[in-house]
Amino acid sequence: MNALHTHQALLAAAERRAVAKTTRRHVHLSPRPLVLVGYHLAGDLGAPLALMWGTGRDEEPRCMVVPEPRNRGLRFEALAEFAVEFLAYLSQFEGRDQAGICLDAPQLVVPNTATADWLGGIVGRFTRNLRTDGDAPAPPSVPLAGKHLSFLADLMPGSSLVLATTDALTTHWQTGQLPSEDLNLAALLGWIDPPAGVNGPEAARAGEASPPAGPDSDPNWDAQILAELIQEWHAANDETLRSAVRRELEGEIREQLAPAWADCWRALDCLGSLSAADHVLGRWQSDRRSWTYHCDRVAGGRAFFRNIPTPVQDATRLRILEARTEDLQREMAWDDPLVMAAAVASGEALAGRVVAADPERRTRNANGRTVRRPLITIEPALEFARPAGTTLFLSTNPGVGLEVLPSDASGLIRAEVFKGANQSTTIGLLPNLGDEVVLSPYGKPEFYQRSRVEDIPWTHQQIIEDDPEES
Amino acid sequence: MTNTAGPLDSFRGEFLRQPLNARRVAGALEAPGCQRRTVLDAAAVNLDKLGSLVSGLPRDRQSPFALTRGNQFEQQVVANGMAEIVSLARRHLGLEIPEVRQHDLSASALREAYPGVTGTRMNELRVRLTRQRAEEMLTEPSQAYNLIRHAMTRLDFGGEIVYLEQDVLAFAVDGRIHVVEIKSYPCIDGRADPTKASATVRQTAVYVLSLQQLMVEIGAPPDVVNTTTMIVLPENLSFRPTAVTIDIDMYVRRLRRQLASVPQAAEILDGIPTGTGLPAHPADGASADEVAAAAMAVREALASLPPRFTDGCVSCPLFHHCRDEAELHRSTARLGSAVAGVCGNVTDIAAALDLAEGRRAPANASEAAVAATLARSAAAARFAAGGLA
Repeated sequence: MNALHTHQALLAAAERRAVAKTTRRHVHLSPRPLVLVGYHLAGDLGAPLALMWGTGRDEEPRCMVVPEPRNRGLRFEALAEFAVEFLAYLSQFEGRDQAGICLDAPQLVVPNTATADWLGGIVGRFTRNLRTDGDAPAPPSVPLAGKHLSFLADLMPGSSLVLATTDALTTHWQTGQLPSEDLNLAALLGWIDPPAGVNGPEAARAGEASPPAGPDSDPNWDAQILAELIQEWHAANDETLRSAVRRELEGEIREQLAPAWADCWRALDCLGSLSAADHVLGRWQSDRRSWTYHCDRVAGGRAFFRNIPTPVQDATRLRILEARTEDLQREMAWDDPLVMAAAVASGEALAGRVVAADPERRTRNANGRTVRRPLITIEPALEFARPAGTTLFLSTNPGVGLEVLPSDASGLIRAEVFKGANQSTTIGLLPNLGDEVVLSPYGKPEFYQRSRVEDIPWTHQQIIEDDPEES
Repeated sequence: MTNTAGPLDSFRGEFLRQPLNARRVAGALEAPGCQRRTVLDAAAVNLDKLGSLVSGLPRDRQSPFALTRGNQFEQQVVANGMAEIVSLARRHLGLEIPEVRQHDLSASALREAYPGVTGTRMNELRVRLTRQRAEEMLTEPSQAYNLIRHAMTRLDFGGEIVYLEQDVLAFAVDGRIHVVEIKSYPCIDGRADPTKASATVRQTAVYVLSLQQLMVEIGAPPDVVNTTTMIVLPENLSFRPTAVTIDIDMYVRRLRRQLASVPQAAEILDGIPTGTGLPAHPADGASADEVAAAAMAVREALASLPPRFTDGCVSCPLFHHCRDEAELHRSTARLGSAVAGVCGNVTDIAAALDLAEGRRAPANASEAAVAATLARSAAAARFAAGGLA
């Protein structure tokens, strides 16, 4: 845990209210999100019990229930009901600009990562390849929706196509409770946005008392309400009785899921109260591109997903994940002084005031050539202990790279510019005397063709014991 | 060992008893260093009832649907003379099992042969039979049963004898015993839920450890019990069983170390005022006043047992109570292990913030280190908010 976040957690506990970890919003918020909450039958991931969804907080959410979740026929009937509407929602995002990129992309809002994982990893994974011909065919909308869910299950850091609200909220706020308690959306919102006259911990307790946000239902409710209704459904022997039971079940389920549904909207409001950070739009553009690419694959009948990726695919993915994680970290720090403060607190970044600058300084490099290496001297606001030779970048202008020089006894940090502000055209980017600056480890990434993973790297080699003939 | 049972029993007093099982012994691994939990476990207190009494919240139960599905899967796996298990063991444990001679040691199977035996006597009988079968396995491998179901072993937990039903099967092949555990959460595309998988591993470690102790009792080396265990899970969303093998040696050794420290439960009790103990659990129809009085008495008894509040506490039945207590004491532990770790021996939230803001001078070197870290964070936040003024 970052030292700054530790301090913020202490503050949150003392003030009995969540403390902001950011000054701006680092996720994209769609004007037309699809909010989705749901339950599966306890212990049976593959048996959806209910889904509730909608695109407007004021409208009555749609609700799908499966009166006997273990019945495959009923399951697909209900899933088809959801799939048709899900596909209708997605079809609003097919319009393209001149470059052939979708104008906007869908955004799925779920209460927590467990729900997102369940929808993509289980519902998507086990419906995307269903057969729509032969015996007991699945309705065609179900495998198609499965393909879309599978796409949404496999997103990169920084993507806002799926917002797991607990995740998004903990990126922006620090509570004064255990990290695992933050997984409860209602409790988390209690800390962030308590009702008037109630403090954070009290509001969190009240939130804990509300029904779970899914995908697991309350076991006591299972035993007391659900078990009985499923039994009644089995006992009902004609259509009228059955639909009566179904309506009753839907009523009970709506009551259970309504708080989570409302909380998702509340979470969006909390996030919406912050202004979007500069790089959010760029990341959303990349989301739009991947949505476009996915749509092309679906349209071309090429939307295939591997259940178990090959080692090369895994290694490639890991490499991209690492790069994207770094990009996100970097962009958030550039956009947000409070995120940058976390790097300052941990000692990676240097904050201070420029007390001397020598823009004309020239030194001899290793090849014996004279090069321009402007020097700035910084009085650090906080002790900076990284050794000479550390590479840092100007936070307001990450193209400017500096190298920390050996320090003297004065306590001042001397750094020479090695790129970005060492030519007559760029020298203006150098900070002025008296400026407050932050030098961070986050530089502009170099763009060059990323090499493809062709051979399986040693990290992804599988040990084959059965085959002594090989090797 | 038996003399430690005295103070623990008197601590529990009239409160409901709940014999320990593997799951609960494994829970000891999740709450390392918690003296409160150690005493309550060693005294075999019914933790669920205690937690629900003291917090006033209904007890967390398991969903009937999850239970049914679990039982269905287990029945399916062991059906047809456990053919599935045998074939999985051949494939995944690499065992050559030329013939299967199986024996069921469950209470229901033994009731026929030993009518009228119940309770502790039945447990003792099953333990004795398990011991005999194990001896035979090692001495006459060609004749003895080589697959035992519902074997029962014992484990010493702070002087309390714990009976463990190995729901689990023990295969004896080539002079070694292999443990098989059946679980009903799915293994999807070769991966299982990591949280559930690690709980299973800890639980299986309890079985393996008790079997190892049994081996020592009958004079065999403990490594006769193979620590590579096989866990049988449903494949994907079907009921078709698949298996994974995992070497749990590390967990067994960790558990052994922890169990070795358990007898200190009696020492912990030595340190608290004599006569401290739990009240009787209120009867079903008890009035609200009686329940409140009992809850108060429980709180008083618990207050004398030092807890250790950490991230892992969420799964403990006493979580709500300990959390309230940590909050009341304004303890840094309330914020999780990461924060508590940074704050070191400054355990009070207000004190930590005072150090951060420089309102209080650090009293010693360790406080000075905490103060430096936190003050730095405070300064960084101020700098971000616009200047250090």
